[in-house]
Amino acid sequence: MGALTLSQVTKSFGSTDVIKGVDLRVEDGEFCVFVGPSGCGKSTLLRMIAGLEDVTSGDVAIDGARINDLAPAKREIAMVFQSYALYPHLTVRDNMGLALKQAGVPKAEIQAATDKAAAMLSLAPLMERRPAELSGGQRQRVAIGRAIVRRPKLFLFDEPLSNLDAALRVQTRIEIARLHRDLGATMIYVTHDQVEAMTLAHKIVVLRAGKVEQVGRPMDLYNDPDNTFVAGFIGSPQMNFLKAGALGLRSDTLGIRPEHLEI
Amino acid sequence: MSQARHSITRSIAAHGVLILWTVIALFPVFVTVVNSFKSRKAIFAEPLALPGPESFDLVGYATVLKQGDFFQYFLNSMTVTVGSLFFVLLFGAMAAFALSEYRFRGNGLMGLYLALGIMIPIRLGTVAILQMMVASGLVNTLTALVLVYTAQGLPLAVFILSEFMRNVSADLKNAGRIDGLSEYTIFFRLVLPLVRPAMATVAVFTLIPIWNDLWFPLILAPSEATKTITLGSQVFIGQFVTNWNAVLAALSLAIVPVLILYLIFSRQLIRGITAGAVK
Repeated sequence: MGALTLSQVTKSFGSTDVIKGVDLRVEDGEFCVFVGPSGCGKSTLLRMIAGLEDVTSGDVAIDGARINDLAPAKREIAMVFQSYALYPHLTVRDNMGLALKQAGVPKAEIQAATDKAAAMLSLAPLMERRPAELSGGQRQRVAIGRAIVRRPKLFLFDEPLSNLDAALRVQTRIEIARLHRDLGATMIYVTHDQVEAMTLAHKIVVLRAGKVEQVGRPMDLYNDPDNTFVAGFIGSPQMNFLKAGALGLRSDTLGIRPEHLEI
Repeated sequence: MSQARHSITRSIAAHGVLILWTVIALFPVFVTVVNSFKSRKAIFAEPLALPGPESFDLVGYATVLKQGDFFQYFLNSMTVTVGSLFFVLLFGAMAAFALSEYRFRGNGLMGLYLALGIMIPIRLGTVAILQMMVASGLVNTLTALVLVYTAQGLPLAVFILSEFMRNVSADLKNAGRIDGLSEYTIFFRLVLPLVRPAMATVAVFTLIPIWNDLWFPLILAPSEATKTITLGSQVFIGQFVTNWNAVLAALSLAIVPVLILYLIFSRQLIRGITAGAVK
């Protein structure tokens, strides 16, 4: 219920290739994080999975079924945006229930689903308010609640924490991790913050310039990076690179993590 | 900064300028309204005096209401203005949405083409428009006026609204798409409410020239049944004799509906600004 497969997916805007052939498999129930420097195509890739951008070539499949030409609403996905993207004219309850209402779910069921999501995110006292009357953290919780209510096969998060202050960011990160545990759903999470990536992910996908550099568990990426880009990108403070020749070694570059140095 | 904000002299100076401007702007309206309540002799003797016991005269209004079918003229003006306004806002907003939201070949060119009308006065095409209206049998109908005014108002509407719609959060529209809203619902329920201040601005800018226009009613719809209020008032202006009482009374009356429409839209405008709850 919710395994995602990308095979040779590409995306071009005119003559610019933004995504250059990505192959990826995200297992059911996995928490997968896309990281990479800005402009590497991680958000574009997420939007292609969501169906907000067309796929130029290649296949996107959920549970083996090709969804390239399916409208976003029909893909059984839910997305949480960086800017929350709540409907300003609807109350919290209606914001959360809109997708179900559009799908023709009976009112009582919508009520039950929104109440349940509200309880999970402690939003119950805010249900009749409008987004304008909420704080940033509350808005982000409503946006997450809106995603939960739909019971999607796939949760997509597009830098959901970037607009929150540091304290809230940590708290919401914990909340997302807890949600993932409770729901057991497949989640794909885009961020440029490697702390988020390292703490949340089962599987990290490091992207650079539209290509996957490495896929793996956080500690595998940290301890066994495939190339200097991944080695330099993961870990803070950054890994030190030395010219291997200077030490009389045969390979090109030698990387040493700061914590492995002793003075 | 805070010094300037608290300084009384500065605040007086600012208000002085504003009041002066208001006086200048309202002066013609004031003279028109005041003189419409005076007898003909009093208008010429003391144009700036307020109507007193002996100069007070409703003869202008009596003439206006007796002569010609002024109620009908009002109705025509209202129909044309509201009708054109409706179509300008609807089609303008739709075109603006398409231009700002969808990537398609020739998008920029199309935007330029649609905005070009701002620079080219529609009156240059009067003869062609008249020929077209004659050919389609629309002369002396209000439909002709609505069509022309819609065309006249669209360029500015498309231009202003597409700029505003570009600023509506893309995430919001995408969230709607994921929730299964149709493009029409996204347009009407999400985007339009957010650009309401811009809509009000466009409405006011469209409304006033249409209401005041004399040119097209005179050429396209001069029949008794389709006269607008501006055209109707012209019957009192002759080549040799002008019935000033009636003209002033007609003009004073003509201000009222447009004022009401303006008040409605400006309230929308303020509400739109204060209800800003995008983020």
